[in-house]
Amino acid sequence: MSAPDPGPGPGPGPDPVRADDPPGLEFDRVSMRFGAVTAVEAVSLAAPAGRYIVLLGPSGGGKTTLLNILGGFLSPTEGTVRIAGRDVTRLPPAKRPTATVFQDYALFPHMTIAANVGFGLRMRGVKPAARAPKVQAALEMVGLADAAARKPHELSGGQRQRIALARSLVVEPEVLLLDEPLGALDLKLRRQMQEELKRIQHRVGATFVHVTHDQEEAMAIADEIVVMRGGRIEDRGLPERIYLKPRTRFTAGFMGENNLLDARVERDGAGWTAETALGRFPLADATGAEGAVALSLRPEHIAVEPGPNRLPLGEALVEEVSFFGAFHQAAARHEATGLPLRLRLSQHAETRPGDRLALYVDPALLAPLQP
Amino acid sequence: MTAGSRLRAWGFVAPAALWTAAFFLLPLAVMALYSLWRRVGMTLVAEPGLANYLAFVEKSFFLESLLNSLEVTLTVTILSILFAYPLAWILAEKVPERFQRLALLAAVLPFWTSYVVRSYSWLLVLSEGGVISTFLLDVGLTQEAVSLANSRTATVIGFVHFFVMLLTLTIYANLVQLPKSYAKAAQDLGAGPVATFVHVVLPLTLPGIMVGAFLTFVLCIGDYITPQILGGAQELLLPQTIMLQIQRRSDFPMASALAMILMAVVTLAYVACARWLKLDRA
Amino acid sequence: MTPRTVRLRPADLLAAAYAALLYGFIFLPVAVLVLFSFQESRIPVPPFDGPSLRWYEAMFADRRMMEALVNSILVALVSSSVSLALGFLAAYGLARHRLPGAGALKLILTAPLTVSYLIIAMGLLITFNTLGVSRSLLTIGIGHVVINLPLCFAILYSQMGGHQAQIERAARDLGASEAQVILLVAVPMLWPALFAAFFLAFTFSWDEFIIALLVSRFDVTLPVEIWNMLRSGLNPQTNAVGSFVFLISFLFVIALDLALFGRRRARSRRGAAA
Repeated sequence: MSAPDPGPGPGPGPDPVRADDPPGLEFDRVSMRFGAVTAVEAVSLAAPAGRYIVLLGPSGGGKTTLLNILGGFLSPTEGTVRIAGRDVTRLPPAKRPTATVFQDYALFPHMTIAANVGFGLRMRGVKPAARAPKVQAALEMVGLADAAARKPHELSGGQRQRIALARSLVVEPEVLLLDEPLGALDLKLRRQMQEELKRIQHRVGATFVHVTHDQEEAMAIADEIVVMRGGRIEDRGLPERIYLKPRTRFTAGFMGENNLLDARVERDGAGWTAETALGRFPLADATGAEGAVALSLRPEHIAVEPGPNRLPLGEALVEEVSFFGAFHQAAARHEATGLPLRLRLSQHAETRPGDRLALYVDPALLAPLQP
Repeated sequence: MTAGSRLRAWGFVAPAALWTAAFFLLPLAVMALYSLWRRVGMTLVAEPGLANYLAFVEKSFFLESLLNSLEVTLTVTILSILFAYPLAWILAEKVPERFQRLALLAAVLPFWTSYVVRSYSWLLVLSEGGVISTFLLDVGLTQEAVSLANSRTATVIGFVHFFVMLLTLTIYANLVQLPKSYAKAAQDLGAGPVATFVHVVLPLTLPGIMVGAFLTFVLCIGDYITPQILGGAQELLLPQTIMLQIQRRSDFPMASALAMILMAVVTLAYVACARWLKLDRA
Repeated sequence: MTPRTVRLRPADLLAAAYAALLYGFIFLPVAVLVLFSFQESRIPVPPFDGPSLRWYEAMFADRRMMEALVNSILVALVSSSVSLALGFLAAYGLARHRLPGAGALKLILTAPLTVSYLIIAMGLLITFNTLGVSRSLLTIGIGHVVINLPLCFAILYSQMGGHQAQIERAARDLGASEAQVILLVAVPMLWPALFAAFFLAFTFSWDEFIIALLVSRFDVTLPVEIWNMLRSGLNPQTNAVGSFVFLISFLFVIALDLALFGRRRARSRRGAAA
């Protein structure tokens, strides 16, 4: 169930990178200051070409600033930006192998859809006859082949989003930048577009860099998630790793609901041991967290029956149960310690407030967080 | 809706409606009627006819003043757009946001000088022995005093001064409500600064230009003061010709006919602009 | 933190030069006007031999000029008050009651905005002549209401939107009479718009020339008196009057700006504090 974490090194590491991957994009100690405000602080980040990278974080985390630096709309105060090994730090947007899908789509309202999609080719001096088939192909790729003659205001939000995508892809960028591209869409459409974005990325093979504050969107779509907070990289890695083994308290909380247990982690022979109020648990890997730390435990990782590798956690009194369709969510209080716990029960569970549950956990699912 | 509440609603609207009817619609109707009458000697012949309109077509004096007016107005409109656009663009793009309102307020400050005084001020600048003449003499660019006043040039300068301020306002208002992402998207797709301007910014600010241009056209073609103070006696614009009929010749029927023609020209310009804006939106 | 060096590119220099040139063009006549209002000698052209206040003294001692000034203030005050009252009532009637032919009424009420002042002035002159109405300050005032009524109506009508209607309905629901709704709810809520409409109307009347020229006889307003002075050629006293008028208009604009934007600023501050 849990993906083994390959990189044991301390702190955020570029775990999915292999040496033979071609270079995609690289930030080298990039900082961006606006007056007294530091939006991005000494960010270093390298990713191989062809990945779908999601910059995830709360607003003000610096992710959009980083995207603007990559697109050439901002010039960093310090540091170097490379794309495919080439230094692009001082290149204007027009000269970069990047294209951006803007949050408000920025479709030119006075041009038809075909003229919008063909704009980049026209600026590169491509003749109208050579433009038309490429424009048509791009429109077909986003499933709007028949929209060519219409104007942007005649399309729905989702359709405009697709046109913005087609307009950026038709110039065959090495890196496609997406600034909260799904933010203006309703939930259902957003889920649908996520799949579509992933499909298109596989097809065109370009690197996609996608900014969002929606962690579900990030997990559904990313090859790699970069969590940003306060202008720094908080954590980065495979979506599974970020969710199951978050390295920091912030990431653990941002990626979804969790229970935090105070613990003392000590080396114990080949592995580590965590001493908590709910018991002693062996840990395979402390990922650099030792001493007094917190353990993150996702609600769905607390079991209500014994099983292989599971250790007992004691009993809890159920205080509230809510039905979410795919599961029940319960708020409970640990009997012996009075600790509040969040649990996830099965769809068919008949647990009621006032019930007592015996709890178990597979210690491999405990994630020690860096202090 | 009850009869009582409708009556009350009429009560609210009636004073304004009656005022407009009595002092705007009625005078226009009287004027339209007058334009069909004739003045013979010092007496008014109250028989409807097209004599005044025929006189307008036949006497080169009248037709010329309309042509002069159209020429001056078009020159002024075009020059004002050409001067105002870069200024509006600099205000919107180059001036830091928190200073923009102050800069704009300053740019239109002379707007609030009295209309009569503004033209007079240009007389001080342009006339023989005025500021420009003295300056040119002092730096040795000319050996004798020059006068730019009393010419079409002076009229155009006076008008352009006023309408540059007006157009700066309308174009600036259009520029600042344009989302920045349009220009960013154009650059991102490979457009340089010139291409971005030509293909994206300029077409999207045409409405602001058209609104300002229409206002300029209407106010300019109907203005009497500026040409009267700055233009001199060599040529007359239509409003001057109209005033001449009233003040010197007391020929109200002819003046009325000329006023109707002026109104028709303005209406044509209005219809053209409205159609253009509607076509653009469709 | 290392401050980024501000590099002035040629394009920026060009922009600055252009802006400076245009500001120069815009301010040149005003600067010349004001400067030579302090001229000592009789002709307001270079060289400047002041500063002297003698032409301001002459202006205040000029009885006709002072009469025109008082006339102007009187006409502006009365005509903008009437415009505001009629405009408010019409806007209220059309925004709050459904009337047959409301579209046509709105069109007629705003129509004078698209007609040259010269034509309005001529129509009034001919009509007054025909009806034997003698020209006076009253006829000037009537003309100024014709041009300012549509302005007041348009401003106030645009501000009587749905939100305002809801609150008025609430007041009526709580038992307020029509008069109470207007005086206690509509007017206080519309205060900034009323203020703006009044000041704009006042400024337009204050500055209006062609109507005031054509429908006046012995009592004239300030622009007409200035016009009469112009016939005697360049004269520093005209500069003094012009500068004085500019100062007054300028103060009006500042007052209007503060009344509108000052309120908005205060409100946004309160909003931020809440």
